[in-house]
Amino acid sequence: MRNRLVLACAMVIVPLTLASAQSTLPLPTDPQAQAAASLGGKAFGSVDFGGRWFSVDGDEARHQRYRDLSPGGYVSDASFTRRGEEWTLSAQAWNVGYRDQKYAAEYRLIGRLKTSFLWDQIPMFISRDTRTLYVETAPGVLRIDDSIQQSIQSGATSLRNWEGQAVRFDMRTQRKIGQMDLVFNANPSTDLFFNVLNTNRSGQIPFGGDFGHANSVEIPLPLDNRTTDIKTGIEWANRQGMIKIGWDGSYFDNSIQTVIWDNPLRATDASGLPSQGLMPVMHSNTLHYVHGTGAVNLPGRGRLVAYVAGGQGRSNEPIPASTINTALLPVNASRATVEGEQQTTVAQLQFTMRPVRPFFLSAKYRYSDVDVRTPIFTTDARIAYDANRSAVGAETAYHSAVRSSFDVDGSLTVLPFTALKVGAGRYDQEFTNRHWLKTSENVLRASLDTTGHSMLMVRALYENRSREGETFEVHALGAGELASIRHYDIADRDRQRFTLIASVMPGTMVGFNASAGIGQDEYPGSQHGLLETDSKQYSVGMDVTPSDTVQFNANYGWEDYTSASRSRTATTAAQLADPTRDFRTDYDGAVRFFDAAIEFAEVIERTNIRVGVDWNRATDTYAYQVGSSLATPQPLPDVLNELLRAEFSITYRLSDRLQLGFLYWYDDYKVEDFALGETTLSGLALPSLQPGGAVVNTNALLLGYLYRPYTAHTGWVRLTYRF
Amino acid sequence: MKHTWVRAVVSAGVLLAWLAMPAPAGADARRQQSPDPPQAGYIGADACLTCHEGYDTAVNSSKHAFAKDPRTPAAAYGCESCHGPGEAHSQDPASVKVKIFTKLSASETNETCLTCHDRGQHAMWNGSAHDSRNMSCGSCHSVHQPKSARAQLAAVNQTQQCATCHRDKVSKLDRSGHMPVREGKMECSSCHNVHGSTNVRLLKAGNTVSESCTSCHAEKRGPFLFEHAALAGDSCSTCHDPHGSSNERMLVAKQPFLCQRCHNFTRHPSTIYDSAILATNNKVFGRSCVTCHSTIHGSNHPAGSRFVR
Repeated sequence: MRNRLVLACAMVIVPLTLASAQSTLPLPTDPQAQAAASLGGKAFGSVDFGGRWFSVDGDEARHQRYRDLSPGGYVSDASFTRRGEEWTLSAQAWNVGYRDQKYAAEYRLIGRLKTSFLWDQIPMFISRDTRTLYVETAPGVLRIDDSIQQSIQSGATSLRNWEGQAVRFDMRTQRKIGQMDLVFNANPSTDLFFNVLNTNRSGQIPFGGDFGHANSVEIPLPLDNRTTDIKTGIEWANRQGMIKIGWDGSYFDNSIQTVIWDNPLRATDASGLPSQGLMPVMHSNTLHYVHGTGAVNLPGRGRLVAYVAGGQGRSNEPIPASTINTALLPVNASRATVEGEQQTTVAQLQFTMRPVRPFFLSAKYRYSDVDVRTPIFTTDARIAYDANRSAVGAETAYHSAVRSSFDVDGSLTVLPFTALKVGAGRYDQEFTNRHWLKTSENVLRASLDTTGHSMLMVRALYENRSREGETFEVHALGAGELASIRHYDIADRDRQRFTLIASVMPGTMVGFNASAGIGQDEYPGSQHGLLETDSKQYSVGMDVTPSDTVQFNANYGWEDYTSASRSRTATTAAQLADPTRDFRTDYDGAVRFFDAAIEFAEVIERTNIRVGVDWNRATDTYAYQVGSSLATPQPLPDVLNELLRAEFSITYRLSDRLQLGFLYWYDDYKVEDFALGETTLSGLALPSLQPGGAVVNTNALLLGYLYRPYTAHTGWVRLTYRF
Repeated sequence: MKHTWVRAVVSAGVLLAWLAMPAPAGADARRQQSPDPPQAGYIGADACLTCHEGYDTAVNSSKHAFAKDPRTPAAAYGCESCHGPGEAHSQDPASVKVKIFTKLSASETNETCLTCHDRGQHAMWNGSAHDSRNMSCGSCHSVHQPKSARAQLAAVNQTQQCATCHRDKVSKLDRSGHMPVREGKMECSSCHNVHGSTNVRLLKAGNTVSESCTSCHAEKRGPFLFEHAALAGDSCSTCHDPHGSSNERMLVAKQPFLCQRCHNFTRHPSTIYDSAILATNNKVFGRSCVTCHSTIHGSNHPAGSRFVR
């Protein structure tokens, strides 16, 4: 807090000092004055500072999520710009001293050089209610007190007896992003550019660390990794065309590549009963691309653009031991390091032409080859969950993919501002180790777009797609997998899409808008797996500006989504062949949203007022239909997510330089989630008690990461100073 | 990995050497894009502003006004760089008009803008999704009356601008699982280049959908010993909706139902998970399938074929 106050004071004092030095200047409080000041080589900017108050009842973490709303003094939206005839300098700061602080600066030598810097912190507040028995004793090593493990192993106690000793902690992650960008204008046709982006991510996330099928252990997985991205290249362009070549390199470096954690149920190793687990997480890797783009402008307002890129991704960290369970014989593996390699080749050719003004022709060909070159990896046995050793070994199967697509579209301006377009496309994909080795998709589309008209905007699109697979690869299915399953990302599919957006502005004071979107996917070749999805989205809205000082807008939307998938529940070969054991899962989702805002600018002298509301409610229902051999399932509760935010803002202009303001947010989040809600996850050690009080197994040790509702009030008292 | 910074330093050295090179035939090169010598028909910005007072306000606070940059309108004919020569119009304003972009077709407007904005992030505009739908630069940008702090947008920010047409995507930002857009830490252009791109779906980074996502989530990039086919199938969006969803981690459906869309094996993958076993079965409560299959994006463990290690 002390640091924040010091920073806050500094950020206030510096601009004030600068402003004082410029006190003989005219007061650039509007864009026109700012423009005049900028042309005159003077400095201008603003700073927002004051105090924030925050209270929340419920899940504070989910409310804050990617921002820091801690109460206290604040300085934000601070900007400083100074322009000379041949240069500009600008700097900005947001949320100074808080977890979500951000700083940016740019210096430009006009026509020669642009360099900019960014520091941005993105917090992710996952939970304030998480508790755990684990302690991180070394990076990536999570331990539970031995006496707890020994007591549970001996049968003297169960996890439920120790739940109270779990220590509460804030689960959060933080990204710290630093970026430097440099563009050097070597001459009016040529730019050299260099960009480096460095992201450090640290903190903890909830992660699964089970020791068997009937066991659920969640661990707070520690994160400490860094990604460095470098992009550099040269671009030449003039009115005849352009050429660009570049190199992109990305280096992901993880300080914690392996996690070791205790089994809360065991202190000593035994076959089938490990005392600890070991898992590789997020291995370091690299990705490099060399790419080139060329374009040439052609007669008839034509342009031909070609792009080609070649890249290589690699990961070659040591493969960890097959188990940390000392009671098990390790497996023999075919090599000691990952030797992961993937080569990617991409080419794209794009041609457009307007031989006569009303006619537009576009053709595009794209090819991509993602070639996984990692050598096949084999083991002579497999150890699951650090618990059980199976004599059946494993062999890797990689999923390379070659894709090509060709699209051609023709557009004709049939009415002023209105273009009618028809187009067709063909998409082919070839895979290795997927159930289809090849798929082909034909696309037909038509659209009508009225844009640029001052009173009317209409955008309508219809698209029909049909995808079919060839060469069924039965070996790509897993052991025990139904042969009638089709994985929906490559399954035969008939897709239809229709979207319509319309805006009418009968005058300058009022405008209306409406949109509709209807989509349908059917998977005709899938007897099991995803069978169909449907979506319907509608919205209506209006904007009203009765005077220069009052503005109002409102939008309402409703969306419905459905899908259906079919499975067969079976544990024996006979059951697997029995269609009366099929069950169908129907999903039905409904979303309703509404937003509205009204603004009064200077209706009361020197005063601006804004009132806004934003509401979004989503409900999801999952229902089963079962075959004749199956008992009728008990329906699952619906899932509800409802967010309401209301905002009130008032500013009063004390002088041309200084403005006093008050901002208030009201947030109300309702959630009912059968899997992650408080009703189901009533404690860390689960299941707790069955109805009636009978104790069932207590093999789950969770973190207490839940979906919980919240109601929050946030207020700011703010002074905005412009100079 | 230990060579990361060595590579970075070498890269920076190469760049500096590049920068140290003299510009090729500077004066000749400059002429390539400098305006032609003043021609008949042009009257200059001052003359325009005698009637069109105030139209230079927003322009002067933008990069268009950088007269020292030979690529800007200010370095050429000012207002007439975009609107065309004004002499005839000034002599007979009623019957001779310059280019008025609100009355031009999208293609005519775009041609004018692309005269200069033909490189960098605009290089792939021709034939892009927005170009082929009759969109003009003026559909989103306003040179004279911008409402945004950056990029001269016609709306106050990117989210509102994109919501004009993509309201269904923007409404998803209010779901419980969302990117940090509504918190102001990302915007639509963090992932998309709306002016056209070399990737699919106007994605800005990488050459595939997965590469776009792993440009930030590099830990899921691999290559892995054991791959999840859905991810190797080049689309994180098979399982995730990047615009937001009501499900944990922006999944397109709730687990285990999402996983059951593909995994119909014997035993637990195709079990009916109903209310009767909700509180006692770890395949449905909590984080469901990924409680065990925690390395679902790929594994480098010798026993990683089921992604449980």
